[in-house]
Amino acid sequence: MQNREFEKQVQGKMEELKFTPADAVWDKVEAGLPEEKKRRWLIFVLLFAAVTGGLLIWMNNNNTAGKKQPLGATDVSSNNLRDSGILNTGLVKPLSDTGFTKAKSDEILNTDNIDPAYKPAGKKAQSSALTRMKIKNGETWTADDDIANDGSDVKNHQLLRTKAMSKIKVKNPEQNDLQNENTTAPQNEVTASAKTNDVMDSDTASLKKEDRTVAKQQLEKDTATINKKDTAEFVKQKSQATSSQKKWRYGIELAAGTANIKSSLFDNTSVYANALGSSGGSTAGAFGNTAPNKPNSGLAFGIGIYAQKNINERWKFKTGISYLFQSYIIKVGSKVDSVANFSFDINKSIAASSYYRSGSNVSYKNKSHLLEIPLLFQYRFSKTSPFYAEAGPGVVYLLQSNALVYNSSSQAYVSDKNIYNKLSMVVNAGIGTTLAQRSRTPLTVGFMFKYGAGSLVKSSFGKQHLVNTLLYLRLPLKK
Amino acid sequence: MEQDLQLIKDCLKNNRASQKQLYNQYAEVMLGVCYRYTKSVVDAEDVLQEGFIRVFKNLHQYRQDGELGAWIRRIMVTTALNFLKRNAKYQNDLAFEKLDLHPVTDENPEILLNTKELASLIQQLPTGYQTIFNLHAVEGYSHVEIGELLGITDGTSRSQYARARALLLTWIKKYYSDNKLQHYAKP
Repeated sequence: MQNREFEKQVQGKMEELKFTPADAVWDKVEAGLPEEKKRRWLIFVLLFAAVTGGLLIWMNNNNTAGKKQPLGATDVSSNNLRDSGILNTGLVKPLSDTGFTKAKSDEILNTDNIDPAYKPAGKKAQSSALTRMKIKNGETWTADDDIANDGSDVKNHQLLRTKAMSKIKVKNPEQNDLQNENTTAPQNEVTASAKTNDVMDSDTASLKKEDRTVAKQQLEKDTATINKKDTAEFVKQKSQATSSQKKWRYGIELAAGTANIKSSLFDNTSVYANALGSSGGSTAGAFGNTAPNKPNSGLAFGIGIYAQKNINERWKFKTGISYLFQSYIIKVGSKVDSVANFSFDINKSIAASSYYRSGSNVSYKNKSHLLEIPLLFQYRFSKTSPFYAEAGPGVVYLLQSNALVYNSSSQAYVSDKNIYNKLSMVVNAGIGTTLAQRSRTPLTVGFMFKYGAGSLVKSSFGKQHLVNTLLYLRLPLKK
Repeated sequence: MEQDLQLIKDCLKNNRASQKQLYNQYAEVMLGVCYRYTKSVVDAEDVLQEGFIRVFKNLHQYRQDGELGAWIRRIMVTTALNFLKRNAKYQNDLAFEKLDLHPVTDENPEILLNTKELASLIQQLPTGYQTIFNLHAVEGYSHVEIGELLGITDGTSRSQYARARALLLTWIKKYYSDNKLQHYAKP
């Protein structure tokens, strides 16, 4: 039996053998590795931002093509409202009933700027006449000519043009040459030359027969053990993979697109035309019978976290929580800073300190801030396909809104925190695709249509169903 | 160990900083391994570079049931053997001569050389001897495994090893004699 003392000493000494490699070695190693994935992520995120940003700018330009008047810059007297007979209809209660003081009224009446642009042709003389109104308390107030002051300070928006330039450097490093190499006990390197064979023959002859038999048996035994171990490991890995596929996956979702409102999904009439209001009384006053404008789409975006789980190979369930910003634009008339009470039905009325008249000279942006908990079911078109469709309901909680409702009787737009439904439902439907499916963190991009099954405002104030078209990007946090 | 696992996870995400950290952690030791199989530090660095690229590309195959250092070392050894086979400078020297089985010596002298001196002597062995000596004496491969690894019989491996060992012992004795070191021999 060979004493291995010498070998142990050599082994011990060689364990201590260390050299510091040159810096260039790491540089070469780095050059041979695939590019960092972070950069690829960044490219996708930038690409998504560029596409959605471009879309929004284009949309914004379309929406602001008309005249825009800054809010609050067009205060007018309440005379016009009185002139139009609104106060006489009983729909708008007398100011004295609302606790309005004379001092306040004087202040408002002195700011009688009005943009003539809103006035319909032929009504100018009528509107400009001095008017005296009897108020319940017996006092008579005089208002100046409400068109004397040209308050049109319309600002034309400049068209924004952006150029998104991105350099996408695509690298496809070769990775296929090392995948199949056995790094533990190489067995695949057969390089025996004729010369080596001669040596082998000679040496083999000199070996004892028993040694060879023992070695052969040992090899067969080892091979059998390795095969058994591999099979057990494969089964273990397979079961681990199956269980890991059913775990919850988390990620971040970004979405951007357009928002609008409709009175119902298949109704193209203006949402404000359907707004309720007491039908009594004449609406034809100083401003004519002005029909409410149709709202234009505005910006919508969302950010949230999601969790999804595989139900089976094709179906997934997805939920989470998202913040949603919705905006749409409506052309309205001048803002009136005057306290008035608007009746919508027998039991519903709003006491507003300001309101907007019918017209088209002011672009008012209705903004809503929402929280959504979606419950989506995702269906993959085939087991290996990256494409899928998804649909499902969502619960929406309204955090804040400044959306206007239209009072057809008084031809005025008004907003109040009590008019909104805090909790409502939405229906989501969309399609998408998974990019880099085999990556550890595959990205998902897609299109989502969102429809508010419940109205944003309470039924007494009309129907305002949100309609969203969104492009989204989902970034999984971990595969 | 947990730190290693986290480092591996980060490396699998292709995080460059983590890959550099893993490289820094093992590069010095692995360059020592590569050096033992080659004839110069420059060649050893070439093997190290190639070996680490293989490490990072195959890291997903690491089963985490053994030491990471041992796994990397096996890759380095395999890479070194491939390097020797394809490099013209080593190819001729790597051809294993027809040798009779050398009688096994029981001589087990105490090694008074320091690590680098011993490594230098091992490096001076003919490439075939050097390779088999490293695989058997240092890495602990059996002659059967070496035979499979190099495409030779285990008998050839044994005889090559015996000659390598004898040659190395001769050199060590000569080294002691040249440097007037007192003899050492263990019973």
